Amino acid sequence: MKQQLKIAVCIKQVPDTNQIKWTQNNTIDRTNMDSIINLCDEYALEMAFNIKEAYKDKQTQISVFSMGPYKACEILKYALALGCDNAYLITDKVFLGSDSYITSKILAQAIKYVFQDEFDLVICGQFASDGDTAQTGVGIAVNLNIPVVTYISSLIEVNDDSIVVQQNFEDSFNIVKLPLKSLMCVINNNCKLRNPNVLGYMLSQRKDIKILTANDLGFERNQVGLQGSPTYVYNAYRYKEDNNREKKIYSGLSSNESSKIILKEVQKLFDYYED
Amino acid sequence: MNDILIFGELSISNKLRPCVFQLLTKANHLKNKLNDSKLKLLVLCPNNSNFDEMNSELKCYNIDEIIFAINDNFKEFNSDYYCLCIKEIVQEINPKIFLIGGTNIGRTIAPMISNSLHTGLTADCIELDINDEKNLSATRPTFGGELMATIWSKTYPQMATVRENVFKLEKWEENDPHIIFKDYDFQEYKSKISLIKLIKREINSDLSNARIILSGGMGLKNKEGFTKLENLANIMGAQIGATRLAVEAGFASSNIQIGQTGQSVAADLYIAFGISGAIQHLCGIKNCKKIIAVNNDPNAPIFNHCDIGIVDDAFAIIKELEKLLLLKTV
Ligand SMILES: Cc1cc2nc3c(=O)[nH]c(=O)nc-3n(C[C@H](O)[C@H](O)[C@H](O)COP(=O)(O)OP(=O)(O)OC[C@H]3O[C@@H](n4cnc5c(N)ncnc54)[C@H](O)[C@@H]3O)c2cc1C
Repeated sequence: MKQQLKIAVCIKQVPDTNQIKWTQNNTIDRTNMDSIINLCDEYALEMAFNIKEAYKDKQTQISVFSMGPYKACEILKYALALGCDNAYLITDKVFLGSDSYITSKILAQAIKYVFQDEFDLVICGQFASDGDTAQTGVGIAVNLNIPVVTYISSLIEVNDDSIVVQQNFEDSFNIVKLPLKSLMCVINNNCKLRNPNVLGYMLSQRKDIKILTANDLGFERNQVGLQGSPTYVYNAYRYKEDNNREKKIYSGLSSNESSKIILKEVQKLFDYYED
Repeated sequence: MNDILIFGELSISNKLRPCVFQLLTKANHLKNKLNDSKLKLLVLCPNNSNFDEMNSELKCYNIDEIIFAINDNFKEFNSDYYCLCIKEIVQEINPKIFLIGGTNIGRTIAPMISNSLHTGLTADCIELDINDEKNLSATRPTFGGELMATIWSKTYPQMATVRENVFKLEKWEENDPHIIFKDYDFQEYKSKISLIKLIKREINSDLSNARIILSGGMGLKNKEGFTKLENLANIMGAQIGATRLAVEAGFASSNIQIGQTGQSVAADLYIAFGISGAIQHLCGIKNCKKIIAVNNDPNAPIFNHCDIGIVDDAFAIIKELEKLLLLKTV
């Protein structure tokens, strides 16, 4: 039995969509928008800690990776304070504009660079709230040539060389066994998340965040970023307001009056259904 | 090399999913804009499948070729077996465009295939078209909910996923597609992933046929807010929906999320309570006949996309509606 377990967790910093304020012309007021750790990635970290705790006899080491600007150190520090052992920031100007295909390649390369072949699990959030392509985790698995299980909601049990999890699909809950050396994509299951404690915070102050650049990972400028990405945004345009809609707006009515307007519409439908 | 390939996903009861027919419909329109293009469908299925039933369901979509890849490992979903087989067949067919439904399975295999074939993939598109260069042009909202982005791909096949019910269904005159049965052989290969147990989900959260939907957003504040909305829905005989933020906050279950990355709905009446109206949400409700929005912020974008807007507190309206409805029935 192997005594060591090495887990890599990939996390992303995203704008806090909970704080969106709209200006009068329906554009987003970006002035006070904060950045936070992507929600699914919090559950990915939680999963890593659950696995560590379940493997009582193994010595588990959790390393966290994030690709992004220097500001993303904030979430890496947070992960360290939660109890992760190592943190890596993958950052380089030439990475800018990478699509999810290239992002997967870069993250996979970083994992190979740090561990060579010596790791047991990679855990990612299922999707990021800002792009929601849900491609990066799966792409990392393909690049590392390891099996992948998606939409994981919880850990069921750990065995010597495998893990059993619950996977949530539209029509079914699947209980799936995956081998050690595989990649897990984790969803938000609304379980209680741990918070950093004082001790964790103090210990994390002593840990460095290691920086990995394109050069470290052996990428040429034209292999990554906008240039290396197979997809690109051809154009972007404003979503047209819906001119087929009546847009009758009532303000200043009493709630009773407004409710009657709504009920009239409901009633119209029922009359129509009865005919 | 101008062909369009569609992935024919099966549900757990081994029937073709609705998204397959919706993608076939859209593919017909794309095919008309390409020269010398064939429409092909790939279905992975176990030996005892009901091929006759599938073939008769597939008669009215102008399909040129249906490939049934057959192996008992396809009895249930396994990403390894699926990916290995799909990858090989895609390489054989060498299509220009490869479209997959944005289901849990589709969103798992699409990136596996795109990464192993080194080609681009655009997820959760809400529109697909052919551009002047005779390539796929895929549109999806961008972050922030203000802009739509049209995405092109430099590599082939050009891949995209589209959620269920985003595209409408059309039918064409019956035709006789060329049918290929292919016994797929995994030889020595054995996946290291295994399904121990499958538990069918009983709750029907499909909102595609719902006639009245009461939908809640962050304006409902918490889980209790959604309970209030649910009560009202019960009295009214309506179903409930939610925004992604409300789902992420744990107020509502993810299978009732409406929008680009949730369900697309076409209700007769859609009433939005405390929903701001981001594009990602709006593109899931654009086929609703009538939209009523209740929001206490007169600047909320949803007021530009509704038929009736009420500037008021969502809870005051919910309470009042409940009162009026209960009074009426006694
Ligand atoms: C790639 C991607 C995919 C996405 N997919 C989806 C998707 O499928 N579906 C989806 O919905 N979103 C999706 N989103 C998120 C979307 O951009 C918005 O963030 C989200 O729809 C906003 O949800 P909301 O309206 O509930 O919250 P908010 O934007 O926070 O709006 C809450 C509204 O409630 C109002 N309010 C507050 N209190 C009250 C009150 N007491 N009474 C009445 N009104 C009140 C406020 O004025 C505000 O307008 C996606 C985003 C991205 C980036």
